[in-house]
Amino acid sequence: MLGKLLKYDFRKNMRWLWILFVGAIVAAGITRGLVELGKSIAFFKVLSILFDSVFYALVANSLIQPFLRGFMDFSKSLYGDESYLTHTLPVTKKQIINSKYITTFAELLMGFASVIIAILIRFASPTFLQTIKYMLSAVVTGEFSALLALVLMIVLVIVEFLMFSSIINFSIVMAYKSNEKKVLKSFLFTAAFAAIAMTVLSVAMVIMFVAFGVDISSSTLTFTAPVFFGIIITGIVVYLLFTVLFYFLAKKEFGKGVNVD
Amino acid sequence: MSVILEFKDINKSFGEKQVLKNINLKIESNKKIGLLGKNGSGKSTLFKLANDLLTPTSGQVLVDGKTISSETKKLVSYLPERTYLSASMKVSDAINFFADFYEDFDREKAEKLLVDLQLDKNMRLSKMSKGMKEKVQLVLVMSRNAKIYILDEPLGGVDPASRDYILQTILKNFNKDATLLISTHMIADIEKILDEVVFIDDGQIVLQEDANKLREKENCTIDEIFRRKFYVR
Repeated sequence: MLGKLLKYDFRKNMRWLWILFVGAIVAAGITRGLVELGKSIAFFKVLSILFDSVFYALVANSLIQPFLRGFMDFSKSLYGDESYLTHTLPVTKKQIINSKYITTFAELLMGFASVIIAILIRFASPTFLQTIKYMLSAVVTGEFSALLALVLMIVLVIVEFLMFSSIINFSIVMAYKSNEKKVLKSFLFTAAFAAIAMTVLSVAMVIMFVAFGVDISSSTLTFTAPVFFGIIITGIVVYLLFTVLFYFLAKKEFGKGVNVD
Repeated sequence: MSVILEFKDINKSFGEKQVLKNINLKIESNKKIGLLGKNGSGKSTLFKLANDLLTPTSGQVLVDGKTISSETKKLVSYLPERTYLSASMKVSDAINFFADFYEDFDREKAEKLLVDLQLDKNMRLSKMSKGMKEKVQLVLVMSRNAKIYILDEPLGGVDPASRDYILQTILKNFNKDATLLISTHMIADIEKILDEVVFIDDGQIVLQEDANKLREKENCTIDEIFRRKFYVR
């Protein structure tokens, strides 16, 4: 039954999300082509500037829309009119929540994958990694792998999105336990749980800095390569832990039953 | 006769407001039962509890002797008062959806009913009126071979001219070995089909009796008994 739920949840959201994902990649290809042509013909340079804004809009939406759709669909299917169908299907509450989480996470990952492909198409060059390394050298000192730094930073952003998605879903479950001001409570719970997660992240960072012997009172914002990678990995670990924690909490609370309007 | 649905010591409160008060009700199988009450008397709340849309404050709901689970949901075909199908779906998508999830769904019956009710299966629900959507939902619900059909105000959004036809559709198409539990305040429209009536008022069951015996005893229609009981003080 989980497979069937996934099929319908995916189909519902991907019906138009795929247009964004493919659009971002196509826009990247067109913009790249126009940029290359613009090196010799001024008209194409003007066109490339126009297409660049389309490219950036599609890239931003490929990241944001799966995230927004994820929790909007979560609240609509589980607590809106559609919930009259969702809760009467011969499936367990565990299957319902798993389907929603898997769909959201998969769509977020697909969004990120399309954005990464689009960015590579738009900007990849033999000096791409060197440019990244040059940009990072403002905060990182010593030798480091620019590719590893790039991959880890991408993973960090992905798990941050996953964590916020998990927090919002749990907040919705908690807010809909009450009888009034459910939307407002969803926002308030999200803010509170996000604050807790960020506080834990800050404490973890301080512990990491102490372990590496970093002077946290220093006003300069440069780190050695091991400290820089330590910051990113600490972030990934904390975000992952909170993603899993809020998923289990949502599953537990949702399993206790719902009160649909 | 066996009991297909049972509410045991059910209380339901929303904050300070108690909407169901110590409900004890047994619904026997193979019967057509009307749950009758004024607006806000607790009919829909009772149905929502039976369909896992609400969690009781205290008490237990049993379907075929078991607490509500994915297994008991296979036995219940529920028509809520809301339109719950995604507007982006076509009617044919909704049929595929039901066929996918419910083993007891009869696709042929659904397609025949769509023709009878003059509904185009290629039409999107977003293009349909509220009444048409309700008819689609009725087709989906009645095309299951369930053990119990719970219909919440099935005639609510339907024009008076279609009411009788809808009622006949319900009667002709529900599984003959099943139980039909129907709520409405349009009692005159449905009373002729009922085996038993349950009156609910202010969150309490005030009467549960055989429909014919009640008519004989009071020497009038159930509609009149209802009006006398709840509207003439």
